[in-house]
Amino acid sequence: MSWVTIASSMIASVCGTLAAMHLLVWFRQKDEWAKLLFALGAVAVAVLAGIELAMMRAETAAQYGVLLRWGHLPSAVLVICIVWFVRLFLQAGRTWLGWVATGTRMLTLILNFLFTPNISFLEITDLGHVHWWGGETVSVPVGLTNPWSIIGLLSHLSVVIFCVDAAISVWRRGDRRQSLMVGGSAVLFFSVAMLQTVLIVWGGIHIPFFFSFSFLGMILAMGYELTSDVVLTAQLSRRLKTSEAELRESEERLLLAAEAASAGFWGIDPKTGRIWTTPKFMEMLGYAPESSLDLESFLNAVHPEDRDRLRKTIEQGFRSQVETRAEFRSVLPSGQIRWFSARGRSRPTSNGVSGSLMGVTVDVTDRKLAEEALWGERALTDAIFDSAPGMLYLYTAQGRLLRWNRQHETMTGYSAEELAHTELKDLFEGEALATVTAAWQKAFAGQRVTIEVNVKAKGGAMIPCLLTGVGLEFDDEPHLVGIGFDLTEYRQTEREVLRQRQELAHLSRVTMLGELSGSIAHELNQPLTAILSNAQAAQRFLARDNVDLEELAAILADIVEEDKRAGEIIRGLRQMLKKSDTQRQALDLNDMVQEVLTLVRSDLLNQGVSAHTELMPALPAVRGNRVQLQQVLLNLVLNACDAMSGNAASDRHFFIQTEAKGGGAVTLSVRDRGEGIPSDKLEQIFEPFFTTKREGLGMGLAVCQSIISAHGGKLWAANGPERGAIFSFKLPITS
Amino acid sequence: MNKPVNSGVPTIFVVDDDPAVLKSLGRLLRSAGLHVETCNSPQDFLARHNPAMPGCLVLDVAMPGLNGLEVQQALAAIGDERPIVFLTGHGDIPTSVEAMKRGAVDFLTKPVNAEVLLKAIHSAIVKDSVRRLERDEVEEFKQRLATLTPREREVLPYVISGRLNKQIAGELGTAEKTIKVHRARVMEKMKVQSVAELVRLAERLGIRPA
Repeated sequence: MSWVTIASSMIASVCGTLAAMHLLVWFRQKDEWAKLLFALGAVAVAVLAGIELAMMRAETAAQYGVLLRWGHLPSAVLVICIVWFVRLFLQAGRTWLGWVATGTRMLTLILNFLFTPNISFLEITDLGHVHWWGGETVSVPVGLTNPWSIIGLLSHLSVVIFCVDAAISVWRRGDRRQSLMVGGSAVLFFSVAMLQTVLIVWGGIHIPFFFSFSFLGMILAMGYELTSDVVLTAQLSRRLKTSEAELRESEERLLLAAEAASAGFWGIDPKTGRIWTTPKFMEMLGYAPESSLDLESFLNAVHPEDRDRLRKTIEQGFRSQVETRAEFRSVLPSGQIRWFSARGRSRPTSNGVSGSLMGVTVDVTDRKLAEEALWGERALTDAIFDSAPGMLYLYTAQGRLLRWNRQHETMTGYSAEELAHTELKDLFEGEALATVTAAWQKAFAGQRVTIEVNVKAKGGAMIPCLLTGVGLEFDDEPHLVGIGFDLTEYRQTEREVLRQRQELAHLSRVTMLGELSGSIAHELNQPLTAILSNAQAAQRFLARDNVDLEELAAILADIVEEDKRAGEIIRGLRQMLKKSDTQRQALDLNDMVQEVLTLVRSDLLNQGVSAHTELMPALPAVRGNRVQLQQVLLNLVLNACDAMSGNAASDRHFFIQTEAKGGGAVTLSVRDRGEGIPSDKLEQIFEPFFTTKREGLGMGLAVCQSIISAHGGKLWAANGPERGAIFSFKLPITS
Repeated sequence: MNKPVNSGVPTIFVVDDDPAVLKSLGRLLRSAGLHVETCNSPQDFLARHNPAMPGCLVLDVAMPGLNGLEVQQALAAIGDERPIVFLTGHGDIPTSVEAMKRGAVDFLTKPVNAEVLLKAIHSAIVKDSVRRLERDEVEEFKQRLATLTPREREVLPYVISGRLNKQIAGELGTAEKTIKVHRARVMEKMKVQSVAELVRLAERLGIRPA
């Protein structure tokens, strides 16, 4: 069998198969007109292949002419089908161009049947026999060209133009493959067909018509696209099925969630006022789940105080497309009042008119009640805040004041509005700010802090305050809450207490000096005696004839020296008698021991008491008030003397010892050889008005203890290992 | 009779524990032309003083170790009757009474005026020299008494009782003539011119008439 026959029948069968396949598809989906058009086109190509084979095997010119004339019929069908297939399948190509192509092709077909033998030739005079590849001999027409066949060419040209236009717009749309496969193949194969026509009909070139070959390519290309489209559709439909299932599932889930959240869905038609609801919504409103509802009856059930407001909100919701929210109370048929919170949004319809307002409503009665309770709670905490005896504050980690009480406003003088914008640096300055910042950091870290700082009130006044701070965490942020007390009054009281203590110390000192007056007078008499004697000696020397000037100079120097000595004693006395000297200085306790012993020297002599000292050399200095510490030591010394008044004259000794035994403190102790202190009285002796002496006031040791405490030290009593008492005090060494 | 037995210059001992006071007092007394010895403690004084040295003691009452009264007692204990002028910072009456009872010349309060102090010292010196003179006289009388024979010593109380030789001879059972010789030997040995003088002398020696 010849290859031409085989090729033609293969073309016919391929096209037939494609046609059948797509026709079958079209039968199932009648709205897929593109598939029908493609099927028809494929059938046309199959028919054309058959006619072309017959033409190539034609015996006579007349036979050839008739075949060519009928060959135009499938050609026209093919062109028209392809044009509209392209239009429908690609959704591209100008419709009017499509009609031009269709029109010219129809005209060509009509003309074809008007002329004899056909539109291509006025007359086929002879049949040529051409030897083709593979030793094939085929018939080719020889005759006069019909000038009207130009119409056929125009028809082809308009198809090409239409397809080019369609391909371009598809290309631009981004579907490049589709543009090339469908549009491109149409252009290519139509152009080939056009060229063939021109060559055979106009050019007199002796080749057979084999349009079907070209069109097969086009059909295959388009068939491929169409098939892949079918595959795609199948995939899509599968996916669609899946997503439909998912949608159903998610819808169910949504409903379940809504049920769980006690949410009811609804929609209101603005025109009819009808309300569509989920059963849950009806249940919430206290109606039977299936009953129907309209806007008016719904609004009638709304609490009168909320009704007008809600109506306005709904009307606004119809007009605007932003989300609308409302909270309202509804009176249930049972008479119960419930709180609801609703939000909805109206969807625009395609023509721009507002569609129904749709939304969701939840019952918030519990939340509302909780809120009310919370407000009550807030009122309670406010009252607690305001009842606090100081200023309460709540700070953020950034140092912003978050909450405070009225006392905070009163104390600082700032209004609530001003405090709302207050930061730490507005209330504290310099060192105080540093102290507070450091303390707050500690509080945020979980420590409880207490500090004393000055708070800067409005206008710059400084208020001494005691501030506490405790860290707490809420809203996942560290916060600090605390209370501040105004220490102004406390400080005044403290000053008053200090003043009274000094007064008492002074009184005690004066009393003690009174007891020592004889001794002091004696001490003062010594230099006075020396001065007087020196002066009178000088007078006598002067009365002599030969005055010894050197002797006189020595006498005068001694007078000056002794006068100074007397002055020192008087100065010391005046200090001791002064009321409130609070000055502190670095002191050597060893020096102080000597000073006190000088003061009591004469007294000790009179009482026959001997003082012994065991002073540590190079004793570290302590910081204190000289007079007050002298008073303490004097008191201890006089007590020691008193304790030994019953001893034999040879057995009256006391020992003053100073030492610095580690620990940054200096200890001074006075040890006597008296009877000691009953062990149950060792603490009691420091209490005011406790005394063992007949004339004692019982203030001495109490005053001593308050002095030592004020110096940051400690005063205590103990009994000696053998006999007597030991009074000791310990003072911190100055750094 | 007023012939000084001890021709030494009186020494004034001054005892005070306060160096400045001691120095000034010494200076004052020297300015009055007195011979002064200053001691800064009672112990120093007791170590340095010599009972044979004429003069007096200016003593501070309040001193560590021994106080003024104790020094006075210590001196009395060894029979040293050196006159004492006490000086005190604050004159308390019990102490001054005690001191005066024990023979203190004066009890002066510091600061002391030069006039008052020097007056007291002078009277102390006079007292000391009188005491020393008297003590020297008795010593002389004792030596004279020691030259008497036992018989003469036996006769003496009778002589100073104013008895006649005859009466004495009768009481002692001997001859009037013998008594007359004894009386003359006693008068001669005791270096007296009259019986009245012998009576005064015997009285100083503590011999009572028979």
